[in-house]
This record gives sequence, C-alpha cells and structure tokens, in this order.
Amino acid sequence: MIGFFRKDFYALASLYKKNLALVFVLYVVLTVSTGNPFFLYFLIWMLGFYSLSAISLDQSCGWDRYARTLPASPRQVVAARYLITVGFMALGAALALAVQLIALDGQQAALETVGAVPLVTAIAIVIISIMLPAAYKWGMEKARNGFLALFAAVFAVPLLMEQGVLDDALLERALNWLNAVSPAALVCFSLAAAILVCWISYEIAWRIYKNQEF
Amino acid sequence: MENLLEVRSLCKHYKSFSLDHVDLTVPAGTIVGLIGENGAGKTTTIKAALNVVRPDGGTIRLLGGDPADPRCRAGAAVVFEDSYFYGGLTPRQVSRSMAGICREWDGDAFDRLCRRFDLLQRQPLKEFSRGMRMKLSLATALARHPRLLVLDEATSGLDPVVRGEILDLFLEFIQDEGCGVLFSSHITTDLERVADQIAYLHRGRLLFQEDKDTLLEELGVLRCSAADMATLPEGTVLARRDGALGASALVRDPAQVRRLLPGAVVDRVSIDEMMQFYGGGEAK
Repeated sequence: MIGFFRKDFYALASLYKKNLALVFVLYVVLTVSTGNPFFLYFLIWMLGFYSLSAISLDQSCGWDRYARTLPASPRQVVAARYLITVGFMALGAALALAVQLIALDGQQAALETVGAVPLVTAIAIVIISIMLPAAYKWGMEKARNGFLALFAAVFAVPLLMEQGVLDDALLERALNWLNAVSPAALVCFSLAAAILVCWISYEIAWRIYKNQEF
Repeated sequence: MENLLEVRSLCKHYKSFSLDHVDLTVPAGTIVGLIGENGAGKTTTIKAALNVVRPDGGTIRLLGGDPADPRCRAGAAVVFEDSYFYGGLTPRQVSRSMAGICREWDGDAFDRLCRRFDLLQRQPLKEFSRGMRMKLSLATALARHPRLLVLDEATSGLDPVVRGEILDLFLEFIQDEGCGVLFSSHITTDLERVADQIAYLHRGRLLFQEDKDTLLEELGVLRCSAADMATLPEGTVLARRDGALGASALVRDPAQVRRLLPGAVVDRVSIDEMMQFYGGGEAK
C-alpha cells in the first residue's frame, strides 16, 4: 500500500509544488496584512482537492488498468488514496495552525480562530469523503459537478429561509445548539463525525473500485 | 510441461463484441505469440487473464491460481501498449513506488535495466520518447522477476532498433525455462523471430494455437487457377482468395499439393499472409 501512496505523492508533488508554494505565500501575506486567518482555511480545502486530482491522473494515464494486474487488493489501492487525501488535508491544517500561531502571535483573532482549523478540516474531510466514492463511480468531472450542485444547495437553504420559503426554526435550533455546546466539545464531535464518514466512504469506495473494469 | 497460464472456454460479452469460448495456454519455457485483427479480442483476453476484466464464463488459471488473488498476480508482469505512469514521475520514483507495491521488486535489477536502456533516473517520463517509455515499462516488469511476462502490443510504433533490443530481452528472459511470455502483436515479423507458438484469435474465437515452426512447415500458399484448386482433396484448402489474376489459397501439406498440381506455385506462408487469408479470405 505504501507504494501506491508514494506514487500519488510523487505525482501530486510534481504537479502542484509550485502552485502550492505560490498560494501559500499569498495566503500568508493576506493573513498577516489583514490579521484575518480566513485565507489559511482555504489551504486545507485546496490540499484536499489536490489529492482528488490523483484520481484524474490515474484515469488519464491508464494506471487503474495496470494497478489491477499488480499484487495488491482493491482495498489496499483505495486505502492508499484515502491516506494521501487525509494526509494532505492534515498537512494543510498543520500549515494553517502554524501560520496562525506564528504570524498572528498574541492577537486575539488568532486565539479565537485556532479552534476553527480542526473544525474546517473535519468539514473538508466530510465533503471530500462524499466526493471520493462518487469520483470512483462516475469519474472526477461528474463528482466535481455534483459537489458544486451540493454546495449551491447548501447555500440556497438559508436564502430560502430568509425569504420565508422554508421554515427557519430548524436553523435556529441548530444555531442555539452550537451556541450551547463548548468549542472543545464541538471540535471533538466534528472530528469524530469526520472519521466515521471517512470510514463509511472508504468502505463504499473500495467496493465500487473492486467491481469496476478497466 | 507446466502451464503458466491456462484459459479455458473464456467468454466475455460486450454490446458490439464477444469473446467466444477462447482456450489459450502459455507453457513454461515458451513464447506464445497472440495474433489477430484489430478488435479480434487479444487485449480483452489478456485483461481477463490478469484480472482487469471479469469473465462472463470459463476458467482462468494464472500460475496455478485464480487471477483475482493478488498472490497469483505477484508472479506475472504485464506491459501494455503505452506507459501507465504519470508523466511527472521519474524512473527513480517509479522504482520507489513499485518497491512499496511488489515484495519481489528488485531495485538493483531495475537500475541495471535503466542503464542498459540509457534511461536517466531523474528524467521525468514526459520527456521520454515512446520507445523509452516502452523500455521503462519493460524494465518495470522484469524488475519484478516474473515467471510470466505478458505484453500487449508492446512493440507497436517502435523503430526496428528498439524492437530488436526488446526482442533480445525476451529471448534472455526465456532462457530460464520456468518462465514464459505471452506476446500480442500486429508486427508478425517480430513473432516469426521469437515466438515458439502462435495463437490466432479471429472475431472473438481462437482459430488455433500451434507450434510456429510446425505451422509454417505444414501450411503453404498455393497460386493457381480456380479450376485446378477445385481438384484438390477436401480439407486441403483452409482459406482462399479469388483475384483478377487467379486464385490463391492457404493449403495444408504443401508437398502433397506440389505433387497433385505440378504446374502450380506453392510458396512458404508467412504469419502475415496467414492472417490475410483468415481475416480477409473465405475460410473453409
């Protein structure tokens, strides 16, 4: 399995290292100059989406067909893909945390938003865990389109509530619950939920992959 | 003799094409050339043999086991028509990746093959020519020390010099009599040079799998009038083509045909001509 991980890592590094370096510098500058760590959260998402590109690379160069002939089970092949995805997002989270703690040292904003990093990471893991089986089933392009549709739907809900089309009682209850829960408990709950969703996603994805023909 | 690959009554159905009860064996110590027209089913047969597609019927034994079992696949290595590694990787990275996938990976053997093929360890694959990519694929396959090497159109589009190097490597590989090669190609001269047996797939069916030398000795191309051809005993003419200048036929037992039709021309047959007769002629 480590070989599949290495193969993805080398491919993604060769494809994105310059892009990542540029974006990282830009986000650090924006964070320091505005005192707002919001841009750093994009790093987590971006690294998650970078790792998804490995699926497109495999499809474009016929790797999947070759991988099927190698002495590895579908579980191992897919597990390596999940490891690289979670690993990349963890790297993004570590970078975001480090920059926040160093560049915004002592600032109130930094202290308040440090807890947001694991929360954003958990949300990113959930979203990408939904996308991964879809990418195995229908290909990366369709999975991306599905993600955009999901994203639009999520944003449409508060809009519809504001205009009275949907009842906003549920949203209010959710916000009240979020206010009542301690930040530490919220972070723990989010990460636990993300791990669970990721595991379920993996169990679905390797079965899809196993039944595919190339 | 042990069979490294045994395909029995393999069936695979697609909307516009079917493999129909294909039987194929690759004995140890043998290079089996798999020939057939485009779309005859060569790649599908290879894919089924190596677990890339699931057969709809029949049985496949790869190195004595089920190809779906990763342990059985450990002893078989494949080279497809083009490289399957992302172009940003280098041979060194390919080696490190493969070392983590295949327990039997021999990094030193891979390095030796790269040096032999003049492949630079730190050069990205996207800068390689097609011939270099093919050599890398072959080095990747051989560094696993497989018992069965499977090549699907691996020499297509390569110049004669590179093809010659690759064919020499097959002949070295087969020196170990426990190893075997299944080699699908359209370049029949390559097969005439290295293959021990020829398996011919035609429209999803295996027409024959025969020893190459026997095949080329026992068959001939007869050129004569249609009337003369009609006098030959039944079963002598395997396939025929009629043209403006007379008829030609793929015939069994050329020596007997020469005796029966002393004025006719009976030439040695090439694999190319055999394919043309079966593929384009009227098979009997």
